[in-house]
Amino acid sequence: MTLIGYLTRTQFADGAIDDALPEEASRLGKALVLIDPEPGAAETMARVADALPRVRLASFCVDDGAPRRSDVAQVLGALDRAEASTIIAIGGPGAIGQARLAAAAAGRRGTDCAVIAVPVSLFDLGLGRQVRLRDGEPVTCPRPDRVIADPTALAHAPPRRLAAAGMEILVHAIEAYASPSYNPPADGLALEAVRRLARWLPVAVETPGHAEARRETLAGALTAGLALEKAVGGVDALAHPLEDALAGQALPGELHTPVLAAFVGFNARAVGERYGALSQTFGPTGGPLGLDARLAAFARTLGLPATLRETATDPSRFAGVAERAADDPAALANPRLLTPGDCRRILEAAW
Amino acid sequence: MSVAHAVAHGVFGRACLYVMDKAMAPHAHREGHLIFHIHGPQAEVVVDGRPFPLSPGQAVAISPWQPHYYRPLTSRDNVLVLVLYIRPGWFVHASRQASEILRFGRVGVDVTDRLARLVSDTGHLLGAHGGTDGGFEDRLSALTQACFDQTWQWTAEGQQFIGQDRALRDFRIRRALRLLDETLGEPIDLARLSRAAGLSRPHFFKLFREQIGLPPNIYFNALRMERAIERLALGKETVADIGLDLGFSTPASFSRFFIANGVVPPSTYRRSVMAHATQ
Repeated sequence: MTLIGYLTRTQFADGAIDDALPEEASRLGKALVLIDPEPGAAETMARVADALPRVRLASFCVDDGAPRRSDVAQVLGALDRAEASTIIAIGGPGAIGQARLAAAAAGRRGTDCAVIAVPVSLFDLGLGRQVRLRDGEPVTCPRPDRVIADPTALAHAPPRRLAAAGMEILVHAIEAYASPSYNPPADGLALEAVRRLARWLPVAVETPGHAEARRETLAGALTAGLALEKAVGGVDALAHPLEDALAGQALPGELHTPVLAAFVGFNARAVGERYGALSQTFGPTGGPLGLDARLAAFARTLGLPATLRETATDPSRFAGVAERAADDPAALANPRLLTPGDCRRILEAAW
Repeated sequence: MSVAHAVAHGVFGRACLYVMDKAMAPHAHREGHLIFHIHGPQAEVVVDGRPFPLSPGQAVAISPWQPHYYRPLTSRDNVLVLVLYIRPGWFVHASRQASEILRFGRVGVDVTDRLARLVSDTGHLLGAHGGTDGGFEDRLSALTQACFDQTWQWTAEGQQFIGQDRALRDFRIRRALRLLDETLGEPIDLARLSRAAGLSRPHFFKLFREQIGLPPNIYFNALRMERAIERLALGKETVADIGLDLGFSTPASFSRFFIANGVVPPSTYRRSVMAHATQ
C-alpha cells in the first residue's frame, strides 16, 4: 500500500503576489511576516504589504540558511504579540522552513497557524516532506497552506546565486528520481523538473531579464518540490558538512554538482537504468556521455564548479567531513548504504 | 525466567525492555518488529528459518507476519533487549512517506553510530519514564524510520527485496481468517477450518502458507496473543479469566503460551504496563 498526497494550493503566475495574494489573504485581519536576508526578500515584502493594505502586518527576521529549532519559541512569541494565526513567509529555505517549523510547533501546543509561502529564490518552495535544520534531526512538517509562486520575485536574485540554488534543486530532483522508494507520480514530476531546469536554468542565468526563462525555472523548482514527496538521496549528507567547513565561501548549492557527479559512480549498481534515463533529459548528445559527465558539463555552462578542486575546499578535512556525512540523517536516504569509508572515497572522486 | 523492565503501549504500538534468558517458540504478529541488543552476550533471532545475529552492531527487522523467534547462544548470561512492535498504520502517518507499509527490505540492520544513539535514547526514555516522556514518540519514529530506510539501501552483499509481490488473497483463505478470528476462545480445529474453507486439509495448509506466509496455528497464536495483550493492558479482568476465555484450560498453560510467544509471564507483563500507566 502506498500513501500519496499532493495537497497544497499553489498560485503560479507572473504577478501572483499582486493579483492572487489578495484573494488568498485579504480577509485576514492580522498576519506575521517572516522574512530572511535572501536577495529580493525586502522588495517582495513591500509588494506583499501593498497587496494587502487592510491586513495589519507585523514582521520578524530570521537568519540566512537552514532554520533552527531554537528560534521556534521566538517566532511563536512574535506570532502571539501580533495576535495573528497566519505566517506569511517571504524568502528562501530559511524563512519558509522556519515558518513550517513554527506552524508544526503551534499545532502541538493546540493553536492553528497557517503558512503562506512567498518564495524569492529557487528551492523546493517549502514542499519537501522534511525541513532540514541547522541544530538537530530533520523534522517532518506540514507543507505551507498556500504557495504564491511568482516568477517576477526572482528578478533580484544575482545570477551566480540563482545558478547555484537552481543546481541544488536540480540535484534533488535527480536524486528523487533515482531513489528506489516506490512513488510513480513523484517519478514523473522529478523527471519533468530535471527536463525543465536543464532546458531553462542556463537561459535564466545568462539573460537575467528573460521572463520566460525565469518562469520556466521557477516552474521547474515547483515541480521538483512536489517530487520531493519522495526521499532525496545522500548528496545533502556530504554537501552540507562541506559547505559548513567552507564557512560562507561557497554559495548554497554550489558544491552539490561535484558531489552528485561522484555519487553517480558509487550508486550506479543500486540505481540501475534510472541514471541513463536522467542523462537523456539533458538533451541529445554527440557521444555516449554518462550522467556524471553531463552534470559536469552542465555545471560549467552555468559557471559553477564541476569538481571540488575548483572550490575553496580543503582536502585535508575530508576525513572529518566523511565521518559527519555517514552520521547525517540524509545518508540513510541514499539508494546505497553509506559508510564513512564510502563517503571518503566519494569526496576523493569529487576532487 | 525472562523479565520485563519496562513496557509502553501507545498509538505507535508497543515498546518493551526485556531481559531474555531462553529461546522462544516460532511466532508472528501483525506489527512490524525491531529488536535491538542493549547489553549482554550476543544472541540470535531466527527469521523465516534463517538465523540473524543480535549484537551491539547488529539489530533485527521483522516485517508484519514474518515468522521468527529469539534464541540465546550461551545459557550463562542474560541479554537485555529493546523490542519494538510498530503498528504499520502509525508508521505511515508518522513518516508521511509514500512507500510500502513497514515491510523491511532485509532483516539485518547495521547499528551505525546514529542508530546506536537513537537506540540508547529510546531505551533510556522507556526505562526511566515508561515512554510517557513527551519526546519518546518522536525518538521512536526517528529510530523506526532510520531502520526502515537502511533496510532498503542497496549493498553489494545483496538480499534485496522480500515479499514485495504479495498475491491477492484467495476468498477461501479470507473465510478461514474470519472464522479463526471468531473462534479465538476455542481450541484450533484444523479439520473444521479446512472444511469451512471448502478445501482438503493438505490443500488448505498449502494455500494458507502460500498466501499468509506462515502455518495456520502460528497465525492463530498471534491472534490469541493480540487479544491477551489488549485485555491485560486494560487491567480489568484477572489473568486467569483472560486465559480461560482464550481457550487455555489452566493458568499455567496460558502462562507457558504467553512466555513462549511474548517473553514474560502474563502477570509480569501486566505489572510492567500498569507501572507507568498509573503514574
